[in-house]
Amino acid sequence: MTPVVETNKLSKWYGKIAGVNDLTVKIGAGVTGLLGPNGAGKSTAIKLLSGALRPSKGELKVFGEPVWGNLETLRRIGHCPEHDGIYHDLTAVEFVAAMATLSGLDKRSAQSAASTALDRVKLGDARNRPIGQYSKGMRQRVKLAQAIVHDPDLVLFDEPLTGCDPVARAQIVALIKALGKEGKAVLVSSHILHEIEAMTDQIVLLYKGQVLADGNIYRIREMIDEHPHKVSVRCEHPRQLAAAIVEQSAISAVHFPDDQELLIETRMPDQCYGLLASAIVEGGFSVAALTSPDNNLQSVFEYLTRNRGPEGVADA
Amino acid sequence: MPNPPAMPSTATVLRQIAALSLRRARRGRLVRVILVALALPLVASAFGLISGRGGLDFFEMLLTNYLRYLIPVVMSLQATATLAEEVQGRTLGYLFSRPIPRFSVPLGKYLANVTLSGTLLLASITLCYLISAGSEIFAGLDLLLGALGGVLLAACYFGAVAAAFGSLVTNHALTAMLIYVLAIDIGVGLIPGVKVVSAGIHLLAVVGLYRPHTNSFFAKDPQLSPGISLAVIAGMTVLWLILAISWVKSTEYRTDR
Repeated sequence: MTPVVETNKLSKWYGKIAGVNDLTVKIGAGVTGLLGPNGAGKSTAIKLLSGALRPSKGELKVFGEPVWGNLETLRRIGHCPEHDGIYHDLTAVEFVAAMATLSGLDKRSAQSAASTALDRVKLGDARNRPIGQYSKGMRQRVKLAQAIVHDPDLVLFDEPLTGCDPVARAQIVALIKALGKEGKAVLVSSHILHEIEAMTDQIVLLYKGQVLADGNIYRIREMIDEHPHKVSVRCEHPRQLAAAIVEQSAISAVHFPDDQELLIETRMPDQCYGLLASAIVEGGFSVAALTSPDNNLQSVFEYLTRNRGPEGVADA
Repeated sequence: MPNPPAMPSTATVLRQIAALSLRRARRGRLVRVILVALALPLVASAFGLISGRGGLDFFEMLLTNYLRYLIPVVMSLQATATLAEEVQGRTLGYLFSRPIPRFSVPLGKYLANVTLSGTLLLASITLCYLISAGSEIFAGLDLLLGALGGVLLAACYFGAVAAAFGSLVTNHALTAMLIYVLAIDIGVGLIPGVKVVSAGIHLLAVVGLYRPHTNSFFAKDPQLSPGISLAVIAGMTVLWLILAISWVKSTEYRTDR
């Protein structure tokens, strides 16, 4: 099968700092997770693939063609960036339709495609509200909608679950899996193994700009589960939320860094996220942000590189 | 979902970028700031009329200030709207990840900025004329016509400067452009002998308001004809736009800092 994405010793340098370094990888259809701690080069890799950055060295091909300045290739790519930047003064449908038009759809088709994409990310009812009035999770879903509105063959999602509440997370995971099943190539970056695992078992493990391993996720998962996993929830009543879940065996410890934050330690992230979702919905808690600090993953990556070297996990 | 669409034409892309910019500008603070700036000469016109100092000479004085100060400032406000605000707001990636030529972004925004500001400036200068001309309204129609052309030309020129500054300087585009148009260009325009380098002087020449000083002891001001000055401004406009376009075509804008 011809890979959708193919890189050969791809490097991107920011002055003397390497964003990605000698990256050689092939990615085909379906969902692939790009996993690595912050600073691993995930966003740089995705920006290179989206044509936002020009490679410093090496080869990058998408659908067999270079990306930088190649409009034919860009036409087939959808990109959802990591950051929260968005046109706050536009409504969701205006923004997504504008992006569709810039992808080549005529005005009527763009409106229709924008409505379909917004329905797909469950924002149909809020489509005519200014994006500035949206919650962070809703803004994230608008970003997803603009990435898929022109029906691209390769979709790049950079940390798509950041800041989303459990319900939005479930919806986004379902969307990404559906896109993969439709035969599209979907590349999803995250620093949280649990997030990637919910979408796919195919991963590329990045560390310090290089591929540490690629292939099946399960072996890496075992290693990471040896380390405590932390989940941070920002909400108005963190102590009440903690009381609802603290007795469960999946919860190792809870902390309150401030009066708006609950920090949970767990060695069973799957069960922990499930418990959290139930407790939040049943208790009617208003969650401002749900994040997972990546210290656990960082420590695992350091452990892997220090004790086993890249070869030790390459067959994971 | 539709199939991957055809490549959009450059004209469509320019129109869409301009429409997107205009839609955002209408809802932002920029239009209000411009309207406040353009209210000042209207107040001055009314004051001139009330105090009995109105007339075509007064309008010529207003027009000179439009071309030298007001239009450069108003168009400077647009500099950040070119690419700087997209970089600062981290929205540029949405545009550059689309199958559109990179040059279409500054060019589309330039068209939007000139359309928006040009319309407001033309309305403003017309109102100034109607207020200040008083009983000479019909006698000065040629002057008004020249003023409208000069204002439009100035909007096109300073819009191009704004496009270039907004593309090159993404952190302090407004400050950089204000320094250029208010300090450097006007400063050069005050130096006898070399004032021909100043765009502001050529704009005055186009509308017939350039008055060369010939009594300077070390350098005489050059004579400028409206036709040549018009060609100079048109050429400089194109050069500023080419600078903006070539810069954007080859530059990676970092939106993650």
